[in-house]
Amino acid sequence: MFKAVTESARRIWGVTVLAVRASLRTKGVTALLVLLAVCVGVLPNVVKGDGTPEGELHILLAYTLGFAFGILCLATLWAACALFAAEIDSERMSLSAVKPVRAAEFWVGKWFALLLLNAALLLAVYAGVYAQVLWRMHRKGWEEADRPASRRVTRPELPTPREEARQTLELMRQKNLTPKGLAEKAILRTLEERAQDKYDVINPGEQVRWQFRLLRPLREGAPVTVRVTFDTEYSTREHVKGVCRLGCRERPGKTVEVALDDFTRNALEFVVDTRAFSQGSGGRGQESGGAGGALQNFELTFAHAGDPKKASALMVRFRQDVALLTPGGSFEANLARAACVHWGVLALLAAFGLTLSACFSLPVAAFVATVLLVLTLVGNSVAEVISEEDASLWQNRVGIWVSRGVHEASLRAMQAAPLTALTRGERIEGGVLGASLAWNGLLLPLCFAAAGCWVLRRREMADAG
Amino acid sequence: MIRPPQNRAGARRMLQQVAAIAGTTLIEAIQQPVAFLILLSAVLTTLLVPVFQFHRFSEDGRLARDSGLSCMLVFGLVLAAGTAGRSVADEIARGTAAAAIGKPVSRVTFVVAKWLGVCGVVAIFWCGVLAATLLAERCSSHFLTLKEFVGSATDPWTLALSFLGVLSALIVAASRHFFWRRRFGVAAFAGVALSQVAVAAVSGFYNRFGELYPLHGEAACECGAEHAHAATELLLYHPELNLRVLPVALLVLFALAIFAALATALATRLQTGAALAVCAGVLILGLAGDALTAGAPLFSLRGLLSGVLPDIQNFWLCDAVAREGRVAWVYVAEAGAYAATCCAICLVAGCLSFRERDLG
Amino acid sequence: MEVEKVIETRGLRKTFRDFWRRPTVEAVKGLDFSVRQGEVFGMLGPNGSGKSTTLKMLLGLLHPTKGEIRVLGAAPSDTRVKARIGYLPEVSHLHPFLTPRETLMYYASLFGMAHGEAVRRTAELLSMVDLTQAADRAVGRFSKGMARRVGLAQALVNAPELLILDEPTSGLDPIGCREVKDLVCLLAKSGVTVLMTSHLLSDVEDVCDRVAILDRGALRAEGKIADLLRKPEAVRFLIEGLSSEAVAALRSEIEERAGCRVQLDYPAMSLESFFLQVVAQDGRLRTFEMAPFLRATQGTREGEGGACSKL
Repeated sequence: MFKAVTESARRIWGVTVLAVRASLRTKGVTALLVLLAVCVGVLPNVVKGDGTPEGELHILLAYTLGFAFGILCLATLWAACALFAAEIDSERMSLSAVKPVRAAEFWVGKWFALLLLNAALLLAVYAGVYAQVLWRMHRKGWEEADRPASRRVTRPELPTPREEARQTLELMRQKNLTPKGLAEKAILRTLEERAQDKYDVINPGEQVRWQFRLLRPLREGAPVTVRVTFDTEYSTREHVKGVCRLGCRERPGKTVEVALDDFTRNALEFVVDTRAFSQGSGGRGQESGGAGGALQNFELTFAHAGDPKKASALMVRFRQDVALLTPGGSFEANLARAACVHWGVLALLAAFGLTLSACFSLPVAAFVATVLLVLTLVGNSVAEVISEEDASLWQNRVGIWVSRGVHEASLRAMQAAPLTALTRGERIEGGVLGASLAWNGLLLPLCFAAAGCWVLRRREMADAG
Repeated sequence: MIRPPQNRAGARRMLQQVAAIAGTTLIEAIQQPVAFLILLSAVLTTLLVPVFQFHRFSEDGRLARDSGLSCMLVFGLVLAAGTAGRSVADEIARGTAAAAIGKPVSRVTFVVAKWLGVCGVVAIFWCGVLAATLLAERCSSHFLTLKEFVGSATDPWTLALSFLGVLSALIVAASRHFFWRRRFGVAAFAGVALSQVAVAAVSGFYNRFGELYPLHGEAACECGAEHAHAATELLLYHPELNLRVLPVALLVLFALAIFAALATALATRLQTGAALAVCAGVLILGLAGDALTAGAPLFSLRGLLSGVLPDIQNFWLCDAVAREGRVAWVYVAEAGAYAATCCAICLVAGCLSFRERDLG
Repeated sequence: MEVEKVIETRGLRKTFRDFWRRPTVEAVKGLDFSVRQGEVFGMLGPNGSGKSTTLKMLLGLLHPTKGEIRVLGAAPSDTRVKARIGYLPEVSHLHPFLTPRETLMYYASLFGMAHGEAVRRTAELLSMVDLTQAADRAVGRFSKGMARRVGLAQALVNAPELLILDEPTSGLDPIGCREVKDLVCLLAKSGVTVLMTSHLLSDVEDVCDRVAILDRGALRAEGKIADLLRKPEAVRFLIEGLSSEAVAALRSEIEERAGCRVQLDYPAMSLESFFLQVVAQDGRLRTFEMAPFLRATQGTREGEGGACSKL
């Protein structure tokens, strides 16, 4: 048994080494390296930012990493499409196929080769970007607040959109208000979308309150960042006044109040030192806070202090736009987690390309892979902008059906958005990372592997003559 | 050394050689499954836009038109570069180029004929995608203010006919292959392109509500200010297609001819993938030309780039036809001359490169 | 005693089909043949006779439309069987960017060989095919003959019990042909079963014990070469050093006594033999030195004679 496993491992390793050698000794990889080097080295210096550290970070983390990742995605997909197809087309496979190697060993060997290459290339790209971040921080002497961070995100304590949709549907049923001719699934989806986008309207003089419960209690003295994004009526960017109050339920009676009078950026973010909750209370907070003075429950109040006659009302999509950010590890660890998420996506693309490669010739496999990739991206974009009015038109039904199908199918694969998290300084949670790796790097590749091996076993590896 | 043909018989022989090589290149290229797939994807993507249309971009049919022209440029680029790569680089690798050059065929004739063959493939593709673009714009939802109807109206009949056209072309090609063992790729490629042209022509016999002509002037025509029909005017045939797109599409064809020439020249030394990558780079740099080279000194890298790279923006005038805009035919002629110059430069470079290339 | 059959086919049929699954070419039509352990079996036939298709089916590269194949007692797709087979295709199809050493290491790894064992075998095989000097140059830059040697070496990396050679002398010069034939004979003497195809009759005649002649996918003749070529009604005397008078006297004597006509001919050396003799004078002709691991693993069949004894 052990001998069989060792021999199988040797065969897989042999296939991996060959594929890595093949990649490294072709001009394609050299071109790819040059392209990535240009992307990482030149792009951040060519694209003009707004001059702020935040802008520079955005260019480095969103544009540079995004562009490099896009290049790697296409390269991985096309390389994977070539790995079997080119060998079969050139009949080189006929030499390997007569050796005692199982289809699964071929598949896994080639997949590992792509994983190794991608790991090396991703490491180089991320290291390049990180070096640039460090260099800019050193050269321009960024303030502590401007430095890239990794923070846990806590949203207000509310029922999930799905729960709320179910509750609303139940209410509608009780009042006999369910729309006729629509399936329950369709109604629920619409209600869920509405719940997700639901907003509070805050008129001048009014205030709203949100409760937060941190997943991990916060030690006293750690900073809490409040982030609120909002829109004004008719999306005008006018000067609006307001007051934000953050209180901690473990330290009752003491709140931190921040007066805000520049809402022209439609987003506000401020840091609160949690020591402020204990000041003047003589350590009372610690007693009531329990375990080592940990803080876990917060309350945020937002009061619109504008002129009731002139100022516009504010609209806040409370499920998306309000958050408390607390320290959550180092930026470097977050960067590594983002790289892992990207690695998982590349592993999925490699698996997808390999299976197509086992089925078709190189041009057809590459074409089909690219079309499906584009369809996934377009489908997801379209699915996000479909309005109820669009959905009601019969001529849009095919488009909506396809878009939603693609969106549903790729939802889990695209759930983690590492670049958004990095640029917003949000920690990529272990659960999200684990789910992304398990889904993209294991489960879906397993399905593709099963399909690819099934085809490989049945496919004739030689032609007539 | 390139020598001009000595006499009329020599010139005729050279033209025969060019026609033979170009024709073979055309047939060889369009019977490749990937060529057919590219055309099919371009046509279907264009026709699907009215189905997926969730933005108007401030003008009815604009999304369909712009998408169609984009498909024409992007898919056309892939087709041109891919075809040139396969028909030149692969033939050099396989030795078929050496076999042709072994006959009394000059290397210049070979390169030029290959380019003409690729242009032929691109021209068929262009016809198909242009027709699909015109049809997609017609099929998009338009806001109409007519005597009997006010509101948004699509043209499901034409859309159905267009898809039916594609399906018919595939069935015909498959039947030819099944019953007469004719090549599927050739019939399918030409059939899909022709089906769209045919549907565009047929769409002139009915209005967007499916009413057959002859109808009186106020029949559901969206021509608006362009050419308002008198109420008493009897329309026998009225293709409700935005023909202002034609000059814009012609400019895209010129750009594709340049890419075909560039890819042909590159394929004398590079593999298909590399030629395609360079062409894609030239497209991106050419479209971003103004931004990259604006204000650059003449004797600088950026200045050199602006001089060497073809300015693809000259061939991308999608916005010019927005809101009843037009592109002057004089401009098209000038752009044609510019494209011809670019093609000539690329081909000369390709001939020089191929002259020094060892074959076999 | 019944000799074990290494390869056995029954009613083997291969029909190539078009996209619509309609038959286009019937490459092999109901082939029945067997190869016995330890023999060199030749498959002869003109181009398009179905030789390579048959080999590919024996190797599991093509699936038979009908019929049964047993190779080393199992189906060709069985990986345990593949571990005991060596295969040299008509065109070597090597990875052009690999060196011969890397190529052999790669194929050794596909047999699950330990690294040390793979290194040893690679070195021995490179020495055997005389490529030690070129062991670290990319195969893509090799001449056809050198690439063929690498192909041959990869076919032997697992010390196969059954060696399948598709046109092994294709593209080789007379020296290379001779070396390959010598090697086949050496392997055969070591107990390896060899199945080879060729359309060069002299190759088959030189090394094969038995042959099968295929034409348009069907088996036309099968048997030992000596049996197939024997003319029982004719007798040939080979006598050296007779004068012309003695020849004339002998001829008339035989014709008179036997009452039949006697044909005279003066045997000449074949062009191949003459060429090899000339080259041997320059010391360029060599014989493959069997790799030690091949000698060690196979049994021998010394003294059995067969076609190889002619070489």
